[in-house]
Amino acid sequence: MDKQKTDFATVGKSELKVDGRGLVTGKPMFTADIDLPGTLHVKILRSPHAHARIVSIDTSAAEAMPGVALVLTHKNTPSTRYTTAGQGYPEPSPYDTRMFDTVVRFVGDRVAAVAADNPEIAGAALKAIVVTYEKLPAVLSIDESQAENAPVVHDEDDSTGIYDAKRNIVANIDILAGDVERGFAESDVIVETTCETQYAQHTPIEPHVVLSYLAPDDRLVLRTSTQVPFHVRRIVAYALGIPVRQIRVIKPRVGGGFGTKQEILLEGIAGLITLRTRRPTLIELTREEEFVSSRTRHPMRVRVKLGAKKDGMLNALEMEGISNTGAYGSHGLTVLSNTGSKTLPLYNKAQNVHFYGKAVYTNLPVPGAYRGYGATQGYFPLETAMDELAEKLNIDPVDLRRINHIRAGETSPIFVKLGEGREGVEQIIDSCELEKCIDIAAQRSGWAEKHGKKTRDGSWVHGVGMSVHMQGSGIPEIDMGAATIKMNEDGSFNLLIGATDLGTGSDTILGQIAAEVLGVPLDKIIVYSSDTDMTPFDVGAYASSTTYVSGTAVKRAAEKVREQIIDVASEMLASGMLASRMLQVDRSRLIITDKQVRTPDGKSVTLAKVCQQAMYIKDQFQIGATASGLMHQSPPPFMASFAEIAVDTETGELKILNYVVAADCGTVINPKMAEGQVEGAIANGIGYALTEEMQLSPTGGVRNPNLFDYKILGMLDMPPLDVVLVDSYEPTGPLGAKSIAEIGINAPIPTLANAIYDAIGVRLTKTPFTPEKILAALQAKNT
Amino acid sequence: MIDITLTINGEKRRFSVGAGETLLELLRREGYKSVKKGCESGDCGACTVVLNGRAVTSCIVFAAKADGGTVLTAEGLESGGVLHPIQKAFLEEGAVQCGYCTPGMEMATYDLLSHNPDPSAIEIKEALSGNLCRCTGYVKQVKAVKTAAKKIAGEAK
Amino acid sequence: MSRRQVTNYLRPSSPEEALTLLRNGGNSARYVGGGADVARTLPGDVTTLIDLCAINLSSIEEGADGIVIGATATLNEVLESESVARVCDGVIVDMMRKVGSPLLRNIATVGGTLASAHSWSDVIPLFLVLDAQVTLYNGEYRTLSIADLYASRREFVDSILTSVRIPASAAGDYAAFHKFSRTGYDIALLNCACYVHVVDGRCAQVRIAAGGTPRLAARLSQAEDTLSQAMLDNDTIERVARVAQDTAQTADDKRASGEYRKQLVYAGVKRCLREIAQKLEGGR
Repeated sequence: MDKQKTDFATVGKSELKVDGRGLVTGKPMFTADIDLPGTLHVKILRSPHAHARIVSIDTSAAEAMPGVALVLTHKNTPSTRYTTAGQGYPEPSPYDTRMFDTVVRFVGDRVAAVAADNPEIAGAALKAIVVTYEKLPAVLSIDESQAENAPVVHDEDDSTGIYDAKRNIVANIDILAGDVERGFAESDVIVETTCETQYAQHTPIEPHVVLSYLAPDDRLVLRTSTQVPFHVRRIVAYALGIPVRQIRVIKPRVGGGFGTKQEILLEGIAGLITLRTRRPTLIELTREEEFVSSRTRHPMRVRVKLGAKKDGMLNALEMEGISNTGAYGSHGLTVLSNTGSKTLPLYNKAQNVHFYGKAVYTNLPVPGAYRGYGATQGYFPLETAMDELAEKLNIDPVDLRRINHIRAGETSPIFVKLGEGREGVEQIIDSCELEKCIDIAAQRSGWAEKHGKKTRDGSWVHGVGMSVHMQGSGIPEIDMGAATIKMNEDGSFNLLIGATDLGTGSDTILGQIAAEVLGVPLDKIIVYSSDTDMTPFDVGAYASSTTYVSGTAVKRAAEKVREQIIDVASEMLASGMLASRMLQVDRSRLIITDKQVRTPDGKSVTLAKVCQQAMYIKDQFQIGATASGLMHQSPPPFMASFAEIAVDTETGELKILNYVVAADCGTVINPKMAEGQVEGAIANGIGYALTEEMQLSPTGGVRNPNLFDYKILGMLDMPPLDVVLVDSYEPTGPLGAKSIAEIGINAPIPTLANAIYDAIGVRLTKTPFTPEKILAALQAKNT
Repeated sequence: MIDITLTINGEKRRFSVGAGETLLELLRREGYKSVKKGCESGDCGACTVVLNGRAVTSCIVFAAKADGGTVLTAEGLESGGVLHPIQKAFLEEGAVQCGYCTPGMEMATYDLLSHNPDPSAIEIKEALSGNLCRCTGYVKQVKAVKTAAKKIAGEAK
Repeated sequence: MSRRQVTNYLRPSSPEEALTLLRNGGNSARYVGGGADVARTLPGDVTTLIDLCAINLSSIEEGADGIVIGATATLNEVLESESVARVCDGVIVDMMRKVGSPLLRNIATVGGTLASAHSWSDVIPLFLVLDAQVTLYNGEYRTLSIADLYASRREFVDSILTSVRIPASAAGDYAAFHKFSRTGYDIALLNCACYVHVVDGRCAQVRIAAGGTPRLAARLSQAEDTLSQAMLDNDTIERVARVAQDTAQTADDKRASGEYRKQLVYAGVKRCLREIAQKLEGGR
């Protein structure tokens, strides 16, 4: 039996981060914070061309330089094609990548790597490598990629899993529910909008970094800043052609990921260098390399067409997406799937739904997983179109959402038709407090008083905008996470989890779940995570899965351990060791609370004594268990997002005066951490909406590969942000919880786009909404 | 190589540094790993230390320039196993997510609070404007600085 | 970033010594103030750095003819200086607050800022309109206006910038600064600075400049002429701002288009003059 929410002792409390003390004192907890003697430093030679064949490559001068240990190129590395996407096996991304290839496909693609005694020597040796390229025609946009007779980005014959390589199509999706043609024909009002999103980057403050070394038993250890340690192990083993058992992956603290560290970029190279040289090897990307060569969000062009009846009820919904997946197909199919699957079920009143699209290769930087994972790109046109529809129908945009959004007890045909890269799973929504979210956020933002008022203050005009969202909680029937709990004789527990805390606080909240079930305070749970030798499997930190999927594993493991404790305790309580006379103990009535096992009549035994009994005294065994979380649903969190802005009609400058979000994430395991997830996602989303853009040169290079010119929000830019987590309980989730990590990033683009329209009557359909673009749109409207 | 003397976290030490070596490079190679590398161009603030009483991005300060100076890093805030009020406040307010920017933020806070013991929200935002964080949205960090100021004022009483 | 090419870091104790070291170092030597700029973008041929901060040049002194800021005073020292705060009702403080972040301002020096002369500099347009004078040493000391300093970059050759003097504010002196940037912690997409000396309600002296155009800050003389001898009413402000917009030499770069920058010149000049007009109003 689950405890009632009101009975929670540690869940629902803002417990301090279990790793917090080390972090605030600056302990050496991150990948590059340990020094190993004899470490090699690696620099990577990168392609200056968007598309070229390597005709020849001469590394002899570099190899001859004192201090150079090894130079890697396509000539002396495995030619296996694999995917860098750290996804479940078999990965739904094409195997189109070689460690070093004979063809380079974007500016920044890797050509060679030098390992040397220090970074300066490695850097100097890079310059001594002589490469002759044969430049090939490049495709530098979605449209060029899909033009007749376009150059083929992947013309090699050994890549697999590409939908149509000759036409540069990585993936193709087409799903239909009902009859959209008829749906539109029978609609009273139709709106259609097409929106484009830009190249943008995750910019974790810690760039990608890996330290590899040989353990005393000659096994390869990869200490790496990753979201997916178990996928790293599997993919590196495959790419290098060595057994999985030869590799141990350790994830120390990670300085932010947001999806970019769901990618196996450096581990294979570092591992190969260590295996060849037997020396520790460090690869740290510079900030510039992070921009040029790591991963980005998929830029997309997405068209949405809505048909509705006069009363506002949606009748037909069509979404067409075309996604630029850059030079390699990492996450190409699945991000595009999610553009539909994480957005369309929100408006399940539409019976006729069509989602189709493709992901295409270009010779541009390589997108991958990025918080929001396609949903961000889909919500922009969907929620813009809803705003337009509301205007056409003369219905308040808030009311239009209320009429159409999904509710508890309901389903959507999309759930079955469209999963992540394959068919989905039928699911009925068990928890949905979106209505309450809308109520609260509308009220706190002053929507009713402010919408449509266009209040002026000099050249500044005020506006308000809103949007609503859902995401998911893990990938149903694919994602699996496991947990092991073992008990110690002082009544503490080791919690061993494959789950990957990349700063989100998952170590802490998973510890809280264990503590709650085991009836102990959090400080009795010693959390250790993400070490492929020491912890059970987990897919890793992505798809908003950890709380729901890994949390379920922890809860199940804790329940098993609780049963074992009760077995031992009931015998102890009955045997008279602790009671003066024999007791009949009804084990079903024993409870664990406050570090004791208690009978209803007040007898108790401490957990420490229980473990000592099991460990040393009688029928000795290790109290402990392993359990897995595999979920058959992906309950969506929900969010309502409202913002008030002011736009300067002279300059196009935009100020966010107030931002309010209310979210339903089921039981809130740790309020401050959950709020932090929303606050961080909204901040990142505002940056994506307003300032962040990787600018590409006419030859495909990144023009602003630095934080000087790629502007993420700083402290001065953060508007007043009001985050409300509404009361909710997800019956399938651990102690009622579902996810919260990603959903917030979807909100700012449509919320701000709709607010801009409310203020100045201009619909912006291309992000970022820079002042220059806003002003140009305003001037175009006025002329 | 140039010989320099630095007092780091109260300890006077001599180093031999390269003429072009930055303070960030020196501190990290000498084991002060709280000082983080995020951009090496003064744009992100992860490497912030307090040099001669003022917060600076150590990635764009030459180590030789700091000769004779005093440096405080996050390692030097904790004393005898007791967290500094700034560290405590960051921990308690939930201002730490991945923690990579945290030591730098703490050092910027240290400079702020030693010159302005009761800063307003805008003063906090200005003081920490050069410390980028990608996880938090800064809401809880502004709060943490306020809490730290209160804790320090409380201790002084 | 590798800075291992640098083999000498010299800390002379006098301008004379610094000049000798520079002359000895030739093209491979560079002066360093705070060093932030040099550390960020070290030219490939530089092997000797000459740090000027050991010379006692960091004082900020207020005299009868103005405030003399030593070249190695950091931007934050300027920002926090009480005498600097008295210049035109704190306009230098307002500007400095928008330069980089405190972390940078604790490193960067006034001399280094003027010597680097970034086109987006916030310091230069304001110092231009405040008619600041710089003193340089090349064996002898010479003083020239900021405008003359940048008339050609030759003035910096074989010279050390030792101080900058900001004229003392008199009654009737007003100035304002406005910066447009992508985020709160950013360089200027464009910035504007305005100074007026008001006598009997009329603008007896006017200096208006725009920077980040994206060229180095320059005066907008036709806008100045339009305002000269006029009252600062709304119509005049509008007219001056339009002239500024029409006459400013702007261009495209990756951060903004020249056309948009013209619009920012308009808005920036307008905001500066409005701010001054409000101060005038308040002063009455």
